[in-house]
Amino acid sequence: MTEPQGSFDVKRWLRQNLPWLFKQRNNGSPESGDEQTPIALLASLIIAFLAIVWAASGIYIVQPAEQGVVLRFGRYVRTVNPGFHWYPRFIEKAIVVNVDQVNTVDLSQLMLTQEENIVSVSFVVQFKIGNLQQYLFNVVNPVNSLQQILDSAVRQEIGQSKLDQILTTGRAQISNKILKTMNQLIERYQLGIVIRDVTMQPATAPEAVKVAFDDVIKAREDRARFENEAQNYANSILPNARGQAMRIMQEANAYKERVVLQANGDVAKFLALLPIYNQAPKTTMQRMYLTTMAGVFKNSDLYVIDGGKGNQNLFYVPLDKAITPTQVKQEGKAQ
Amino acid sequence: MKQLSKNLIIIVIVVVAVLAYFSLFTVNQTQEAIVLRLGKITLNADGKAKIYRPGLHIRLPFVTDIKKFDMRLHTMSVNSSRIVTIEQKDVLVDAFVKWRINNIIAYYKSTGGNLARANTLLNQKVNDGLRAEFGKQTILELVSGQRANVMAVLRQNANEVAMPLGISIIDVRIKRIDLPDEVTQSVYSRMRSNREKEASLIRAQGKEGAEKIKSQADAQAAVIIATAKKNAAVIKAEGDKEAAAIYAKAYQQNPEFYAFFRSLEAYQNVFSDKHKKTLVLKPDSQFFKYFDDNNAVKQ
Repeated sequence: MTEPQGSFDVKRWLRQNLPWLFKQRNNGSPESGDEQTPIALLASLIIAFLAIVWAASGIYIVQPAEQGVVLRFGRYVRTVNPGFHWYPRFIEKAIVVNVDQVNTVDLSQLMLTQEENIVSVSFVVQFKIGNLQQYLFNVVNPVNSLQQILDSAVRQEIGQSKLDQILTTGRAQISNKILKTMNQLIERYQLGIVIRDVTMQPATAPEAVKVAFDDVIKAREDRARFENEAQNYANSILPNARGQAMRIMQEANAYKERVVLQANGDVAKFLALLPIYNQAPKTTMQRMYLTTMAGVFKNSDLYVIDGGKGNQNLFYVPLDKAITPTQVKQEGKAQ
Repeated sequence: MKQLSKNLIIIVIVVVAVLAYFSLFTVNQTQEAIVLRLGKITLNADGKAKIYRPGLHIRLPFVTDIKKFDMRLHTMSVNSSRIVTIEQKDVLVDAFVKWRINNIIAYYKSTGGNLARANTLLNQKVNDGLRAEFGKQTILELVSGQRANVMAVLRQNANEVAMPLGISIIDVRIKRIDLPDEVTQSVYSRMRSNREKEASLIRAQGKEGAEKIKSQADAQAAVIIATAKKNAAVIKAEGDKEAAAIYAKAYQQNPEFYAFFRSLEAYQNVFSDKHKKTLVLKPDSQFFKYFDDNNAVKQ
C-alpha cells in the first residue's frame, strides 16, 4: 500500500467510473471485428479530454488584493481586476500579482552633512505597486531601483541639511523632501511604484563622538540644575530677610515704647517729690541724701580711712584679708 | 493504400507543424528584436532595419537568426570609486546610471547585444566623466550645494558618450560621497571639540544664570534688611525724642533739684548690683558728719 497513491488512484478511478472505456478496449482487441472504430473513438475522446483540460487550465481567479496582466504571444494586451477570468493557454499568459501588499526598503548609514559632519541616519520606506504594467515591464528590478533612489535622495537631502537640524527639529521636513525627490525619480523611471510613507528614525551621532554629544545633553541638565539650585537659594533667603526685617521693626517699636514709658516713670517720681522739695528744700535734700547713701553703703564693703591732719597713721588692708567681706567687717569692729 | 494516404497526411501535418514552429517567434513585452538573415540585418521597405515589437512574428525558418534586446531601464552601478577633488582630497563615490537602449542597431553593433559588455563600456565612460567633474569641485560643494548640478552635468556628458553605443542615459545619480578614513578621523575630532565647546558654554551659562539669581536675591535681602534698619532707627529716634521731651518738660521745673535728684539716682543705680563693691572713704564725708562723736560735740 506504499505505492504512489496518485497514479494508482487515477487508474482505479477510471476503471470504476468509466468502465466502458476499458470494456471496449478489452472486448475490441480479441474480437477485432472492427479495428478502427474504437481507436478513432479513443482518439477523439483523448482530444476532447485534452480540450477540456486546456480550457479548464485557462481559468484563474484574481483575488481582491490582486491584479493581473494578460500577455498574448508575449505582448501586453490588458490588465484584469479581481474576479473570475479565463485565458487561452499557449496563446495568452496571465501574470497575477498582489498589488495591495506593502513592502519596505530601508537605509541605515553614516553620511556627511552640509557642514561636513558625519551623522548616522536611518530611513524606512513603505511602498506598494501602483501601476502593475509599468512595474512588470519597464524596469529591470524595480525594488532594487527604489533602493537606489532612496540612497541617493537621502544622501542628497542630508548633504543639504545641518547636523543640529537632522538631530532635532528637522526630521519631518527632511522626510518630506526625500519623499518628494523619490516621487520625482519614480516618475522619471516609470517604476510603477507608489510610496506610502517615508519614516526617518531619530538620527544619532556616530559612535566615535557619542560621548561628546551626550555630554552636551548632560550640560543642559546641569544648567537647569544650577538655576534651580539658585532659585531655591533665592526662595529661602528672601523670606528669611523679610522675617529679619520684621523683627528689627518690632524691636524698634518696643524700644520706642519702652523709653517713653521709662521717661514717664522716671519723671513721675521727680514730679511727686518736687512739691515737697519746694516746701522745705534743705531738709528734703538731706533726707534724700542720707536715705540713698544708706542704701548704697549697705550694699558695699565700706572702708573708712581717717586721713585727717592730726592723725598720720596709715590704714591699710592686706589684700589677702580684704578678699572676704566678713573679715573686713571684723576689722571694722576691732577699730 | 488507405493506410499509406493516412500516413502521408500525418507526415504532412507534422512537417507543416515543424515549419510553422520554426517560422514563428514571439517577442516579450520587455523586449524588441531584430532578425538576421544569413548574418545580415533584415530591412524595412524604406531601407531601415526592421524592429520587431512584442507579439507573434513570422520569419524564414533555418536561415534567420533572432536577436532580442531587453528594452527595460537598466542600472549600472559605480561602486567606491576613489576620486580626487579640487582640494586634492580623496573621496569615495558610489553612483548609479539609469540607461536604456534607444538605438538597437547601434547597440547591437557596439556591444553585440551583450549586457555585461554594455555595462563595462558605459562604466569606463561614466567614470571618466565623474573624475573630470569631481576634479572641478570641493568636497563641500559636492556634498551639499553642487550635487544636483554635478549630476545634471554628468547626465549630459554621459548621454553624449553613450550615444554611439545606442544607449540613452536617463539619469546619473551620486549615492555615497564618503571621506577616506584619515579625513573621517579629523572630522570626528572636530565634531568632538565643537560639542565640548558647546557643553562648556552651556555649563558656564548655567553658572552665570545661577549667580545672577543668587546675587539678585542677596541684593534684595540686603535692601529689605537695610530698609528695616533705617525705619527702625527712625522709630527709635522718635522714642528717644519723646522721652527727652518728657524729661525736659519735667526737669525744667527745677534744674537744681533735678541735678541732686539725678545724682542720687545714679549712686543708687551704680551700687544696686548683686556683687558688692568696695568703697574706701574718708570719715569727713557728708555722710559721716555725725559719725565721730568728738566732732559732733565740737560743732
